[in-house]
Amino acid sequence: MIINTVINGEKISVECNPNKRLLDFLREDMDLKSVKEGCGEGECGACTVLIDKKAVTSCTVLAGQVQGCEVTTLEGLEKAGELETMIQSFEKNGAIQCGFCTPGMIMSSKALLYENDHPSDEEIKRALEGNLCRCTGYNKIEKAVKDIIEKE
Amino acid sequence: MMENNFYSPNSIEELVKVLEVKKNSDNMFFVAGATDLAVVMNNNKMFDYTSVDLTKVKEMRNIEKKGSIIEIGACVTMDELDKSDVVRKYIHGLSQAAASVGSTQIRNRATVGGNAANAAQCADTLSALFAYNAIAVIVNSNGEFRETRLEDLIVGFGKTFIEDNEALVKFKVEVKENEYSAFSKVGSRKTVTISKINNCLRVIMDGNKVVECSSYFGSVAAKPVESKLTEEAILGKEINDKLLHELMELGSKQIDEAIPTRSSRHYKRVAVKGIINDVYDEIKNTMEVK
Repeated sequence: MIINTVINGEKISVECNPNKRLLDFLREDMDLKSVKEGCGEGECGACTVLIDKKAVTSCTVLAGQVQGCEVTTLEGLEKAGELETMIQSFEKNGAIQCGFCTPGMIMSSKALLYENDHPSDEEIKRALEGNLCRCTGYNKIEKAVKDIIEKE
Repeated sequence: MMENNFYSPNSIEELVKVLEVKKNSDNMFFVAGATDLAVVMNNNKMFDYTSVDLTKVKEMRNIEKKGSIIEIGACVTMDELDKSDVVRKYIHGLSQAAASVGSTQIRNRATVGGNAANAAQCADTLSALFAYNAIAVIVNSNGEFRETRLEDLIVGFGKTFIEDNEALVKFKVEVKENEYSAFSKVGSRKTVTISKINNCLRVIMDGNKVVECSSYFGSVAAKPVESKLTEEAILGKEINDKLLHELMELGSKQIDEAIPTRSSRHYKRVAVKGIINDVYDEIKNTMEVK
């Protein structure tokens, strides 16, 4: 099937098995390697991307389902110049260690900020509840997100 | 060119045509949020199948209040249920159940129809839908609609009475004056957790007395179990602390009756007291606010 969608602001038409997971489609067909596979069950959030500005785990979406939608990965934020301040805040707050969860953490944070530019601490925690980090703990990540809000 | 392995109907009319194809196929599956299907297919290394994506069917995406009936499309997501003003106001227990499902990412995809049709014993929204005696609306390959009590449609452990040429398209929930409900659950962690036991309690008040009541425990059997013991105890009573303690004891008794031989009974008969306390408090607080 030919999938017509917008990925990171670019219109694309690609032949692909629509029953492939969106995660595999993005990594294998679109070469977007920021999208990480962790648990493969929608539990860890490492593969989080945005569909129409909402955070989803790309391991639990079929590629064919993004037909006509807009998909954003970390590469898209970089392209739009929206990544740098987020990365800086994560670095400054020690919220990155091995870095495997970071793309997912940033995408979930971004989805929250699209919806609500001044979230409360509880809202930040809820937005990130589906992203697991085994290195830094969550306080530093929460602090990094709060710093981004203050700067903006 | 391979044969079509992905259908994405945009309307009920188009869905009916796909059902005509699906009834003769044993390798065709509905997919809504895909939060269950994508995982199962990937774990079983199944890639050669045909999907029917229901998320684009416009009639299945709405929440609409028509008089005292609230219609909820089967492809309404947990996030939409959680944030809908109508659902929050009139079917509070359902909005709480939807808000308690999975993570933000999962709630953005998982649908209420998927939660029902997947018929997992831990499906959170089922307890709330059963408590409201929700009606399921189903369409078949001839374009005919039938309505049935959702509780009668669900068998549990992944099974339903939805035929191969049928699709679940929406739910109808009747809401009443002075009606209150609440939902609570416990799992092995605080958030992003699968229910070990959940409860939805719905009451209708006349003055300070309960005149109608339904209560369902989820995750204790194949599908949510009606808690007749607590329902009988609430009827005609005032909502106060004395009644709460009575309900907590009866909740334990109800669990003993529902799962007399299961080892999890010893945990659940205690845990049930906590969730009864939660739903009771929530209903009491909502009444005070009103």
